[in-house]
Order: sequence, then structure tokens, then C-alpha cells
Amino acid sequence: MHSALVRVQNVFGFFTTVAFTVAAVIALSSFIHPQTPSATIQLRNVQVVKGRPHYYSYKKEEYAHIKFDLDADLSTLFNWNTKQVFLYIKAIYPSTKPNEPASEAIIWDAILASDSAPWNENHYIHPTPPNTKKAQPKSKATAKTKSKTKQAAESPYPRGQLHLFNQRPKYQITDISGKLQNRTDVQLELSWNAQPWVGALLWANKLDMGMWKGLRGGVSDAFDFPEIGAKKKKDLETEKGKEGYRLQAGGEQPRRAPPA
Amino acid sequence: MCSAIFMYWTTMRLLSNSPQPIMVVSSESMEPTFYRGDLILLWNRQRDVQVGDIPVVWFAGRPLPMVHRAIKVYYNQSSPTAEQLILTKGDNNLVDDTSIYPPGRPFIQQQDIIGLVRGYIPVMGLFALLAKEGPWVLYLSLAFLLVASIVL
Repeated sequence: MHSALVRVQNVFGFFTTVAFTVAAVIALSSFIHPQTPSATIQLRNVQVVKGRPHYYSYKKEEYAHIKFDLDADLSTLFNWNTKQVFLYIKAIYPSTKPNEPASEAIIWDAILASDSAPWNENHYIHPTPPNTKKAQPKSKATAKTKSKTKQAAESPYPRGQLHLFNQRPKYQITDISGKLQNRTDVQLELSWNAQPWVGALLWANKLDMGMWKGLRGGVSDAFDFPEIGAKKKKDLETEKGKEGYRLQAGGEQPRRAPPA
Repeated sequence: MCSAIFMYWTTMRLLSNSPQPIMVVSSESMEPTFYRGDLILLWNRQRDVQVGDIPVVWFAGRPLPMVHRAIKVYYNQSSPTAEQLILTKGDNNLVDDTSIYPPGRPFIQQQDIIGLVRGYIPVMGLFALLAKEGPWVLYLSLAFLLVASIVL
């Protein structure tokens, strides 16, 4: 008990014990922050087109392009222990077989970062609403634009509030069978994955858990996928996520799939 | 002391139903959700995977697993028991992972998943990453321990 090595070991052991206790306290304390998330999501337009999964595949599959309106107030999801909220909208449609569960596919996602998170290029920047007047260009335009690329552009709404109109999806979805037209009872549902600084990842809760109220709303009315239509390419543009503006991590090349 | 560590590890494996319940993130494909060097805690007792979950997928024969987010979930209509087919994509990747799966398999199944990420601790795994990518770190720290225990 009197050598320096043993002392270093004891100090390090004490450090890890204290660090884990503090982390556990922080993780548990985030449950006492009240949450009242609410959202409304509506279908704006849906089109079904034929397309290929990859440029080299010969099978043509049917893809659905779903545009939506979203009004969400998720500002209460952000507490001292929140690093980011991964928000996503999924389309749920029942299967053709009667006993199978419904299929789900994400059509749009966004990473809402809290103020304490270091800046990352993938963070979601809320688009300015179309009705607001554009700000007058300042005379010191060059200096301003330089600093804007470094820090996130200011969102017109407080953090956690989203108001999107006629939003294009990020992903066009298809079914595993390749056939998507004329499917009935499709619903859009909003969900999220709140990532803490330390602790458990938590997904959207529909039920009330103590101080945390469940999500109010967030499910659209049921709609159908129409028949194949949409000739104009402009209607089928998808939203490119922020991760689309850089080379893919890993740089994997797609391999030619063997014929089925 | 070694046996205590082994018992803790085996208990965690049993509780979480996963062969490796604590892992270190080693790629940047999930930034800003997970950075390199984050410790992730896995739990493998799910009945179904839902979109938005983060499964850790380790194909047989691959040296490293993939930690990506599930973006599409289907049920295999050709098998008598409803098996799930899942498509994943990293938050930092532009395209989904179909090209990274073994050829001929555009989706993954529940059996490829060794657990869903349920919790994480930032930064704690950096030393393990450093040790894996450069064994000199391990040799150096072992030598230092030996010298220190003799001298000090």
C-alpha cells in the first residue's frame, strides 16, 4: 500500500467509480425533465413510378414518392443530457398476406442537434418558410458568408419546432415484392431517437411515462398508393441529406449482383 | 480478479443475449450519432426490429461489424414463418448498405444481428481502438507496468 504504483491504481479505480456514478446520475436525471411532444403530419402528394434499385439491375420496381406537410413541436425533448434527436418519418403499409405484420420504410430523416453538440455537417438546418421576405444583403457580404459556412445557419423557429410544407422525401420507397401501386391503408408516422450525452438511447414514446408525456398526434390519415403515373422528372426530385454533399465514408463500390 | 472479470462478462452476455454486449465504434459512418471511440451497449432480446433502431450487423467471415440504422423493414413473404428482412444505412452515408452486404443478399436478417444499440458512453473506447490499431501501445503499457512494479 505504499508503492507509487498501488497508489496510482487506487486513484484510477476511484476515478472510474466516480465517473460511472456521475454518468449514471446524469442519465437518470434526464427523466425528471418534463416532455410534451406534439406533431401533425399530413400527406401532400404521392406518386408511384417505375425505377431500378441500381443502375445495373435489370428488374424494374415500383417506387413511391411521398410529399408531406409536417408541423412538430419537439422543443421539450431537448434537456441537459440530449446530444441530438434523430427525427424520421416512416411510411407503414400492411402486407398483402393477411397474417403478416406491416412493412415500414423511412421516407425522410433529420438530425436535430442540441446547442451543446459540436457542429457537424449533417445537422439539420430548417429551411426558411416560403412566405418570409428575404433578408437584405449586407454590405459586408463576404465576411458574413464566410462565417456562415462555419456555424449553422439560424433557424427561423426555436430549436425543436418544425414547420415544413410540401416537403420532398429523402428516400423513395419500394416494396420487397416490387409492386407498390394501389396499396391501401398507408400511413405516415413521425418518430425519433433521442441520443443523450451519456446513457440510454430512447425512441419515441406513445404512452405517458411520469413527467414524459407521450407523443400527441404524429400519425397521418390513411391513404392509398395510386397507380403508376408522374412523367415529369421535376416532380420526383428527392431531398438530398447533408450527408449527400460529401464522399461516402468507406468508399465502397457496388458489386454486380448475380442473376436471381 | 481475472475470474471476476470473466464472470461479469459472461453474465452480461447472458443478460443481453448478445455475444458481445459492449463494443467500440470504429468507423465514422454514423457521425454525428456515434464517433470513433464511443462505447456502445447492446441488447439482443428484441422480437422484431423496427425502423429507426440501430442493429449491429456482423456477417460471418467479416473482420468488423457494421453499426448502422435500420431504414426499411419487410417480412419475408416466401417463408412460412414471417422472417424479417432489414435494410440499414449509416447516418453519415449517402446510400444504403445494399452494396456492403455479401453479394446476392440485398437485405439482412435477424440472425445477422448481434444486438441493438440501447445505450452508449462517449469517448471511453478510444484506448481500445488505439490498442487495436497499433499493438505497440499494448507492449509499451505492459513494459511500463512491469518496470513500474519492480522499481516503484
